[in-house]
Amino acid sequence: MLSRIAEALYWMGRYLERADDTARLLDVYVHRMVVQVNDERVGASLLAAMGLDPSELARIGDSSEGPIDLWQATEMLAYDADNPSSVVGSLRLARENARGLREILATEVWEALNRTYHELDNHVRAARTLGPHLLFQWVRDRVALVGGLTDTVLLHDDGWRFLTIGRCLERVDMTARLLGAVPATADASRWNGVLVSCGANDAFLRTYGGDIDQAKALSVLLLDPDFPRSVNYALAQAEMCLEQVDGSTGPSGRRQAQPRVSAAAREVGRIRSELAYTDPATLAADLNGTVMRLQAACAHASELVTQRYFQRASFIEWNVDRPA
Amino acid sequence: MSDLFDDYDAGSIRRTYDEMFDRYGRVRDTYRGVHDTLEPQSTADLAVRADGLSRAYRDRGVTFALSGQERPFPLDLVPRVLSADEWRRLEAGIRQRVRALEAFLADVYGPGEVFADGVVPRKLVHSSPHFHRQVHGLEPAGGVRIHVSGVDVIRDDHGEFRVLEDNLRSPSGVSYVMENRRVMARVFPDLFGTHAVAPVDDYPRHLLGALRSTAPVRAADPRIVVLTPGVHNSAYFEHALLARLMGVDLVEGRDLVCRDDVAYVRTTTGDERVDVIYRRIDDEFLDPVQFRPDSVLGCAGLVHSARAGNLTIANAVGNGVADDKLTYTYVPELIEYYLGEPPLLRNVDTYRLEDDDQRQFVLDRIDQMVVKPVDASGGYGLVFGPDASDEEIEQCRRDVLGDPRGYIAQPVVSLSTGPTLVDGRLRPRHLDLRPFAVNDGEKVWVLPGGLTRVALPENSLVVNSSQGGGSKDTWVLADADTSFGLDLPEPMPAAARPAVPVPLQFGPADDHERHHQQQLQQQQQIETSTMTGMTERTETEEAEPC
Repeated sequence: MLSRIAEALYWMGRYLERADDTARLLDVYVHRMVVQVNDERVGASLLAAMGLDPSELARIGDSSEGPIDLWQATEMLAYDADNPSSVVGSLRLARENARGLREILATEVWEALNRTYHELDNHVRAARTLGPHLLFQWVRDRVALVGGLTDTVLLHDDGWRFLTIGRCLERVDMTARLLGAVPATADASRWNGVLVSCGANDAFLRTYGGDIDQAKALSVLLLDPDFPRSVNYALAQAEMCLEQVDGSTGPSGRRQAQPRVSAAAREVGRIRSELAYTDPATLAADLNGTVMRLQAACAHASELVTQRYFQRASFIEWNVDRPA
Repeated sequence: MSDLFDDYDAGSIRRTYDEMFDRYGRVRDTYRGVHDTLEPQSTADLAVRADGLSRAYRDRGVTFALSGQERPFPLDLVPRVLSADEWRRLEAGIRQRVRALEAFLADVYGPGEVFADGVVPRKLVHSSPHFHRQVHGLEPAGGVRIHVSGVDVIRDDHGEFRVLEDNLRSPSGVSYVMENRRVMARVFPDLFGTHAVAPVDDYPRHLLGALRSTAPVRAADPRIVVLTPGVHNSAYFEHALLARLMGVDLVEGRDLVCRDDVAYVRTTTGDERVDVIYRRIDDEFLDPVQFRPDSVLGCAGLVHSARAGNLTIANAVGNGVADDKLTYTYVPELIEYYLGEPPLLRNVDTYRLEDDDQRQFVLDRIDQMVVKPVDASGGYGLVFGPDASDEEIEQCRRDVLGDPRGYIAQPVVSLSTGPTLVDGRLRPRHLDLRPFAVNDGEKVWVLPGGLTRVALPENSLVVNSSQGGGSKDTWVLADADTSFGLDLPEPMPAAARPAVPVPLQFGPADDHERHHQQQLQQQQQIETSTMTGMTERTETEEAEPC
């Protein structure tokens, strides 16, 4: 499979997942803030969670001083098409990658994603007047549709595996970001919000009932082997896909003293084992450290995947010697 | 500026109390934010929002069954707002009432001192169809019989809250409180503005806590189930929602079995013991051994299991005797008798029709009275004097004379009004309020707010959903004294956050490359098109939906 194709699939997966997770995250934040209390620091903490500097606000033409309120943060993280980390921006990038994959992607997948892209403007316009929930709900629906199609009509070959690796790593990264934004003093209703934004509320209720605390919430979000949106599950799936795309390496005929896994698979496996074999109490006590390690591992794994599979010629700009 | 409030005929003309405007047509402070957000909206804007509300309800399946038809519960766009101060008074009154009724029930099904002391006649209780000898002497775990109650209150002409009735059996409607808030925040976020509104999503946690703490002592980690009559019940949505949010099983009668005074739920891995049943079916259907023998909704042996101390039934069997509308007339006395406190919330004036003088008084002016059967709920069987036809009045008179114990009469109380969206304009419509209280044996917790029901037909005073009523999201505003656990801003500990945000990762840094490629392609196209004369080629290539 072509490196370029593999890479585009990988990033398509990541951006799709990012759009979905960002929409979920914002939906819960906005809902919570709207219903309860308008906390001025929330905008800044949202931006920080998404790895953005508040100074970027200037770019969307809002140069007002003072704390960033929720609506500015929403503007930037949801609607701003020029911001590649916004919901709209992520979808645009996902579609941009898919565009170069039309011969690979099943028609239905491409059409679903492309239609999403073309309808974005309408939904953004509606959301601006009638509240952002409309957009978030719609984005979640569309991403679920595209995701469902990739799982059902796409050939589950290496291409699909790269797409899935992208989705899984992004899911881990976004879950880590979300957890990093939860204050240490979070109460039950705050954790409830976190669970909802990860789509984990029903999974949680089925597991533990209505009694929410940090330890239980973390066990579902980080460790649950049966919950598809848990970090553990996503890592395991990424690991499996990495091992499968790695199947044909090594000199043939010679036995090898170590398992034939790529560095990326090792990195993903390492962080998964670290989670699985660390005392849950320790994970919870050093939540911040856990979050940082998860993010670092995702970034590292992503680099390793890129190095290993996505070889590309570095761009060379040729100077033309023009005759004077 | 729009004309939403034009011709809003608030309390100034009629004598009723309006929630938003005072007698002089000025906006009350509690409603300032809501009023100012609504006023500039156009009718079309509101229509879109209202449409969003009902679509959200349809999608989520928030419906109730009206005469066998499934309908979305009408939710009005304009919330009902209570100040923290008003709420504190109301809450204290409800707590007091629940404590007194709890004591009354314990007495009725126990020593009966209240009869001996002549506070209420023994006949009053024993003639109630909801008095069940079967549970006499049954000591419920934790001493709680009224785990959940809904005390219906209204505002009278002076704006004072008065209790209209108590619901101590299985009051429904709390799911609408939670759903209303969720949907309102999604569809109309601007309305919340800068208000700090007390959250309502804590209810399932409090209910679960109360069911746990009133479980039989044996159970360290009690197994709790919600017992529903089934999908055809009008409140099935609520049963499912509560079970889901508490993370407990929703069971029907056929899922349960009792053996040797222990209740079990049938599972694929055999019968599992049940400790607490939060039941949403009436006493009469709960246990065919004790009550209606033809009931298929309940399970034989539940009352015995409860009596043996192996099972908590919430709410307890026989509570109906305390929310009987005739008992209602004695509640102020009961509060003084059991708690030694003056009642904080007044009743609506009520005539006991058993009393010859009072009955004669009522029958003389029956066209100005509301006559209610003592044991019905949901507005069924109610005769509203001023609106009733001559035949209905005559029928009502005969009913009362035939069974004076079966009815009470109240003068027509004008409920307060609040702005409600009707045909694109805001119009005053009558409201009541049902706050929900949860008793865990130590403390009575009242869900801030409650269900505001609104009578949608003009001038109608009957708010029951079974009679064409709708509801409103009900806000209690937090203030400095009562924060409702809202985590008001507190400084973020510096160490809690990485100093530098971890940036998101992005795909190949090929923006440059891609840009370059695009340019090349474009150049190429321009060159081709200039050669062939197809100048719009570049345009179509870009704009064509792929």
